[in-house]
Amino acid sequence: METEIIGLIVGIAALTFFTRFAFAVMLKKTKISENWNRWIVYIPIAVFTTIIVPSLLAPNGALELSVQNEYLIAGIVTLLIAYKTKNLAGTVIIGILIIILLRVLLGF
Amino acid sequence: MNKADKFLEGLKATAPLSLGIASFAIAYGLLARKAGLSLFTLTLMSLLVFAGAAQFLTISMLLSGTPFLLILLTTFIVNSRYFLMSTSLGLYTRKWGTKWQILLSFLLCDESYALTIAYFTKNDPNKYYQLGVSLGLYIEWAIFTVVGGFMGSFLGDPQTWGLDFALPATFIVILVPMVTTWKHITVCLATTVFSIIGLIFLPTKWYIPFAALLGTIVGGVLEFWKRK
Repeated sequence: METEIIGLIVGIAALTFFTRFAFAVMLKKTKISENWNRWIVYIPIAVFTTIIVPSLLAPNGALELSVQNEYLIAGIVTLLIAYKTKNLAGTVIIGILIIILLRVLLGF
Repeated sequence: MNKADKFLEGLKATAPLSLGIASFAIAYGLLARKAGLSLFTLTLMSLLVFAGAAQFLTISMLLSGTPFLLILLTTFIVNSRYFLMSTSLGLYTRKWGTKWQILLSFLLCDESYALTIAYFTKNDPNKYYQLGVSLGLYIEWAIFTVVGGFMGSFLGDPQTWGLDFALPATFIVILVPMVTTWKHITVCLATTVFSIIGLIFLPTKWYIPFAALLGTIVGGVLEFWKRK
């Protein structure tokens, strides 16, 4: 199993390097069109939303739309703090503290 | 200013991000141990892949028994954001030759991109500055991955320490500054709906390519419909 996982890791590493390198190198010769530039902005927004939503709404795999879901509550609070402060490290730490607080003090 | 000074300046710029990255790396190490990876393998992944989101996703997909091909596809789709980042940085790095491009591309991550592009737009673009930022984050990521892997045998579940929330919290902090217009908000909301639909109706992690692709298409439609 371990050998197979190392194989998988090498595959992920190769694909990841491709995403980081391909366009940078192509840029030497190609000019990227204005339309493509305008559209590509939405990719990270859609991708990050796709990752965040299930981690808050379905932390254990199935949808949990309830006030008993501590990920959802901590996520909404973290979102508001991120919007207000724009501080990366601080917001992450406060987010972690909130989820500990919800679990330890409120018994989520 | 000489090369070493620029390198150190880059290195120092990573300090404000170090706490968030360290907790993220520790959470990854803990979770990877939970998924049954050896300390060697989980560290190897940090050294070769160096992409927190992709590594976390890989571990959680291994835990849920996802087929390898789907893990490869999903990490590729998640990492497709690097196409965008490397394109915008490529305008500077293309002058520096292929060797530098290979090195700096390998070390590109969300945080190094954010720091480097902010510096390059205000100061004279310098490859040693970018190298300082990138290597600083790379070494920190590797060290705290090992720390997390070691702690895994003592601490057990990252959930007890709230470290399982480091991932969603980090992504929220990365996403929020990107969302600046009503079109961006619409894409967020549409993608949220697509994710929920995908979660209910699609097997394993297929909701990721499904919702990300549809969300991006919605963005394109809004962009060009609005322009006339």
